[in-house]
Amino acid sequence: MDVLEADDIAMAYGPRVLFRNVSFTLTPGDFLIVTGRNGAGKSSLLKILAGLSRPIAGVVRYPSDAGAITNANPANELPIGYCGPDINIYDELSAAENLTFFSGLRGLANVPVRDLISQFGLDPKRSSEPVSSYSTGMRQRLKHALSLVGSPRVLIWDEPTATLDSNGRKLAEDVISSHTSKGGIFIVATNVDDEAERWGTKKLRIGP
Amino acid sequence: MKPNAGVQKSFGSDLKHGLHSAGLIFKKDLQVEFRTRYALGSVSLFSLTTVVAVSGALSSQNLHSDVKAALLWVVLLFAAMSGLARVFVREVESGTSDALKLYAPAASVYAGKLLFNLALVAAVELITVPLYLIVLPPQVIHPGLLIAVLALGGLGLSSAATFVAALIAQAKSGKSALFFTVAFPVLMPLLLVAVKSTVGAFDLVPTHESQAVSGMYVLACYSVVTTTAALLLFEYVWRD
Repeated sequence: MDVLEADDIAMAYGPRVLFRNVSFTLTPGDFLIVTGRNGAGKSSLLKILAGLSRPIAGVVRYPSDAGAITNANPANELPIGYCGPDINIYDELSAAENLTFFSGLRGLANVPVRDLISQFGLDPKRSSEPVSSYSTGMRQRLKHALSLVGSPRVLIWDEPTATLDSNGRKLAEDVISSHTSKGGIFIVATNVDDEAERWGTKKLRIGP
Repeated sequence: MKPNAGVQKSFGSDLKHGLHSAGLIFKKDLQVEFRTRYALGSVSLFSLTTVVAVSGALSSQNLHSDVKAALLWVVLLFAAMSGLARVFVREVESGTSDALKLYAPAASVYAGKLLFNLALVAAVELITVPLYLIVLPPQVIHPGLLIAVLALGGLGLSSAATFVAALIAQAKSGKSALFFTVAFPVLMPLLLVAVKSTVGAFDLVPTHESQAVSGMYVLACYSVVTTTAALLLFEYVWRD
């Protein structure tokens, strides 16, 4: 089934336990908002869901009848898109080169990179400039575009609007609502109370 | 028959995708290198300065072929090592390693980085060896033997150094020191055999030539073993 299932997962760094017994099930069209204070483990949880980190206990399955998402079976084998503050793109390459490179790694040819760039409000005329010349907000938009490469059914965004202007936030909201209305699963971690209130069909608070 | 055919097809398409991804990573690393010239700049500078320093100090000496062979590999080793470690350290320090983990199979990452390091070692050899042979000419040169030793030695050096580079990239600090410390025992057997084989390419002693030929088998085996082991183990190094 096209269901994402987190079963009793726990994470710790050394003796410091971030969270334990986290379980949820997400079905097509679900939008999960993850909240919690700084350092509670929101980003760690999202990286586990994407297969970038290994939990100390529990499993994540997607699809739910498939094997666990582990560090040996990461998102590159699965239709999952991830965007987080610790994921960077290549400064020396242009926006178009970055998108072409990463879509090539997923085995996708002829991805409309210019359309993706335009969709996130980036100037296509600057798509051949090195990313090092981009502002923080422009990089964030590009990273959002990158997470959509290959039209993944599950999208995971960590602090998606932290560096965006009002137009960027609106574009991000449009992508979220479009994705979930088409039956995709969206998971977002945010510290913005307004977003946590307005967004999400399901909510998960990590920590106290 | 059908299930087997299906497995073969899946394996074939996986292999094709893996090789394609490795090629993309190699091409990307070349693009980044040509735009920053970090590794090429440092290894070229190191090669030139060490060859000039060695020739300035020893050109008046009548050196034996074994000393010249050893000096050549010392220069090649340290020049290459100054650039080889960067392939993974750069990804980790710039925060792009997680993006690679998300989008590329682990074996493809190793293969792509190995190809880049091979190109770097080849560039080091192309810069260093002709210059070295001009300033410290050996008694005689067996070009075929020398090229074979340099190619096999370069392959072994790249393969082992790429894997060690992946290991030390996860360290919190002291990456350069750690790279040399871990790489030293791994590369020492390769270096000893490469020097002995190069002696055979630098003089007219028949026993040296036969030693060089058998040394090349050892170099070839070293390269096959290190590359195979690295491909099998890389997944565990790359994923935390």
